[in-house]
Amino acid sequence: MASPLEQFEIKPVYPIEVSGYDLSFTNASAFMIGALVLIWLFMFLGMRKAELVPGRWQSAVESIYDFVHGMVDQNIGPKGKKYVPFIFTLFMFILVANVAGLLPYSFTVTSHLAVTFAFAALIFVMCIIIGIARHGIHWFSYFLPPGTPLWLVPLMIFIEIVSFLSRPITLSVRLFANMTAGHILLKVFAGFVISLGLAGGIWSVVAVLPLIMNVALYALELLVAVVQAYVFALLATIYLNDSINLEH
Amino acid sequence: MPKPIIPGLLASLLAAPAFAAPAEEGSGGMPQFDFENVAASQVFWLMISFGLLYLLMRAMLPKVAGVAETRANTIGGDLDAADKARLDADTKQEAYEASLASSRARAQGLIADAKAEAAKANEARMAEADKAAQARLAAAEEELNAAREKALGKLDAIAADATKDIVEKLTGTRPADDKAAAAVASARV
Repeated sequence: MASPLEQFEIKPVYPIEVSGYDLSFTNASAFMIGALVLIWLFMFLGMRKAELVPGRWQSAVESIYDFVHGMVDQNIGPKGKKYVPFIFTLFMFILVANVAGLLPYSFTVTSHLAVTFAFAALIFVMCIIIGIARHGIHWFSYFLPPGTPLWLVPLMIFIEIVSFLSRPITLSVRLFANMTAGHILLKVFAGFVISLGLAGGIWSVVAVLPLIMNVALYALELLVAVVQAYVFALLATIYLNDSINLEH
Repeated sequence: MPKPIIPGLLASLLAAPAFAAPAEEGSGGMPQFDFENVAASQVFWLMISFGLLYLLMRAMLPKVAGVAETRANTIGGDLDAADKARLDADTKQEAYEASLASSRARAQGLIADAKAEAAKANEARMAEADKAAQARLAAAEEELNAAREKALGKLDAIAADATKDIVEKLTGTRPADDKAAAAVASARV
């Protein structure tokens, strides 16, 4: 029986190597480009006519935009308008990658730590650059919450720096672990269905139980796919806000 | 038959997630942690696809925001126009009601005038008719008097004739006219 981890394997489709780095076009690359095309088609076909009274498709595009715009506006305020396209792209890309990964035989881009960490690192670097660009050296006061008693200052600075540095790790591991764990569970229960079904006799009847479990798990995984995309985008927004609006 | 199944299942369950090694990769465990072999290509293609998507979205999103803004403006404008139209209608109705009231008042004035004039004309005609009737009444009375006078005059002659006849029957002689007339005149009083 195939291992539940087989679904995470990277299989090169077209090998490319640039100065020692393996940049092959793989199944993962195909799903990334697929997500790009799907999102572009969704946006392009939805806004093709851009009518005053929107149709269903246009309403879908507009409501997702309103959702992201509302999230950014609520967390960052008017200064966040510039970052709406970034958060929108982030949310859509992760959402489509998560949901597309739930299709049978597909590959889940976001189940790879390299990908989620690349996103988290991008956000981490953006936070530092935006913070310093907006506030200069004063941005480092972020690491010292106002009103800290003097004797607590070293400890607080230490805690704040650790929590700031751990952001990319928690952000990337949360998405990666959620997607990976869910997909492994689905595969393990599917494996039960097959082995029990093949066992024959009474076991073939028992095989219905893991099948039911898998259906329920699939529904849960759909929810997780959407929620994790939202959580990732929301946290990215909150982190950006910390750099844009210094609280003190 | 079922005997070997359970241990087999358990073994596959236990073995599968943690230890099953992908056939192609030499290293065991999850492909996700095989960074040396998977990271570079994924990050490279992620940069391409995500970067391209970001540029596309940055180009497309203003249109989405623009539609929403246009819609808000249109709805706001329509509401304003409706408000203005209602105010307009209100003033027009007020003007209409005012003009209605003034013309009603004028009509009432005209009716009153006409009534008064008609009453005056009526009175004049009544007075005239009254006068004419009075005149006719007086003429009729006069005529009546004259007729009576005349009748009374004739009564004297008839009485004298009757006297003469009576006297002739009684005495056999017919008295003279003036004697009879005098006798009638003396008897009447």
